[in-house]
Amino acid sequence: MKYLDKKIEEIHEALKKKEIKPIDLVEEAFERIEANKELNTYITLNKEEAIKKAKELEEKDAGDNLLFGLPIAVKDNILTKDLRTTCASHILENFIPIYDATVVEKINNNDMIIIGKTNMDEFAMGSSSRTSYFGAPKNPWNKEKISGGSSGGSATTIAARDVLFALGTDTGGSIRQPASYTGIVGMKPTYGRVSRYGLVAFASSLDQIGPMTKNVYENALLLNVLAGPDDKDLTSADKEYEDFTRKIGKDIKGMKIALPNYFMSDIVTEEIRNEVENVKKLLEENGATVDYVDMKYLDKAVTLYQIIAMGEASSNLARFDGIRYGYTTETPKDIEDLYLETRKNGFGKEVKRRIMVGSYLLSGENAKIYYNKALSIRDDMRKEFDKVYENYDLIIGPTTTTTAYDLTDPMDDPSKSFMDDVLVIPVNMAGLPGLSLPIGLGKEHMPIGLHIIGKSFDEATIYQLASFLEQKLNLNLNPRKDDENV
Amino acid sequence: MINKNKHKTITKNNSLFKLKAKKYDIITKVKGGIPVKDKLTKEEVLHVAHLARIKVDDDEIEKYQVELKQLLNDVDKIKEVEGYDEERMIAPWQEDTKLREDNPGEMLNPKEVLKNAPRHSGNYIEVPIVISESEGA
Repeated sequence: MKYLDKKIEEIHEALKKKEIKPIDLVEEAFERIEANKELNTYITLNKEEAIKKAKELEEKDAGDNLLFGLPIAVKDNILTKDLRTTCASHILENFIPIYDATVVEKINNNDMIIIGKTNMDEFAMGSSSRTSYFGAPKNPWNKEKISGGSSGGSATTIAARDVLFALGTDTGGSIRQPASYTGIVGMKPTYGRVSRYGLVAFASSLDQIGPMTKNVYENALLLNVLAGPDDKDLTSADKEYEDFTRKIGKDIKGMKIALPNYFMSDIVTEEIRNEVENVKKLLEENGATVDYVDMKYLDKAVTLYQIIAMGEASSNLARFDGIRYGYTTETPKDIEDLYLETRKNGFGKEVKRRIMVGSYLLSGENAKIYYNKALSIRDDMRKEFDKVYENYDLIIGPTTTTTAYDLTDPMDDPSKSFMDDVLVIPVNMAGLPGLSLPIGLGKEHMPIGLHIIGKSFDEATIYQLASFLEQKLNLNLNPRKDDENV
Repeated sequence: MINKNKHKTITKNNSLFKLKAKKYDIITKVKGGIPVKDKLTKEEVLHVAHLARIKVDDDEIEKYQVELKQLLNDVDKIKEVEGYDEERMIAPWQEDTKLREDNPGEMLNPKEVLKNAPRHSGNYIEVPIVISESEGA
């Protein structure tokens, strides 16, 4: 019973010919999740409903829909009707949404089966998923290591091969960084490509939902379903349907690629730089040009991110007041006491720190000094990217500065969780699409990721390069491969 | 141990200290490998906590004095970035946002909405008294 290890086309054929049924896939997924229980991947499982849906699908024809009947994991900050959604926070520990996020509606309408809600950093604030109220997920490559964050559970479930598909969210690297740490493919689409309706807002001008998968093709397939304008999110872009797989398999001869010097500076470990150098050589051997370029503002991105993300978070998280939903303090003395006690007990340390600093940054004159200035510099940074794209098709670099570190590493440095994302944050600042692709293993036998950044709304070219490299490198990274018992 | 000049430079560059430029300790403690040179006063921590409507217990204040100051030092780096035109209008995203017709759409069922409210009665959400009788008009 190893259906989920097969190629998606093979699974589809088997489903179409009724050799297997969706329920077989659902049962296999739950068996794997049970076997991988110690990875702490899921906050809530959707067992009953998933089985029910699988049975309903038996009456239906798979048609040409490659995603038909396939299990999918959803990050726990995306609303699922009647299925608990916690944002990995005590304050939403018992929250049952009364409507679906637009992306959830889309995956349901495409006959995919939601298997459960994945673990994450509390309200997506963190870079190791260790701020989760439910404890951190563990990296399938080495259970002593982090899976990264904030979409740590979604990365874990793909790397552990529980399911083929997962949804993550990326505000400052939260899809790409854990994808890199766990050796999977994670795409943050262009800001506005995917509707944010029903995503619990962290930093509204940065948040974006995206697909996490074990390979490039399946990633593009899932984005086909997620993308598109939505009347319920007026920041969703008014773009026509396009097939994101259309450039997969096309030659990369003549492709012009930029490699910013900052991304290859000594903030990145040597083993990672070497892997990227190897990729550079491989691309050049195959007819692409890869040039080192200087880019302004890249080293300022973390500062801009801290201001914008903490500022917007303080405003967004003001809604958690103990009145309308979520945890509330038992016996408040008055309304002020209700706010103060609910928020003190409901939020974890990292979240409280960020809300406090964010509130300060937006208060009075500070809004001008910090937030407005950050927006202005961010616009300059976007123009800097535009300038590079006048001469290049794509930008590459490493996704992370190191491979995944130990779960027991200290958490008392408040700047650390921001610095982990120093290479991925510029992409959120510029609103661009970015993908992490596994390109090798480091000396600790932990995955290394390549970051591929595209022009605005040009995800298709990212997938073209990523699939080319995936095929050439032919790594098939799988932490289960060495495991005799699997 | 205490470097007074350094102390002054830091206060000058930070608007929080402009408001409350009184004495505060300079500590030389190593935290997570990063030397933390200074910290907020207790009053400043309480001010920031009040803005955020988060209660801070006495035994937490000391930790926040250091941690919040470190984050404020981080964001203060924006002051070194040149080329900021205050008059420039900036939208957080580039794409034009479209308008939709102003038609009432599907609405959430009030009974459903209230299910998640911790205190409710009938079709209302309950809150503690906001304006007492003596304060009322």
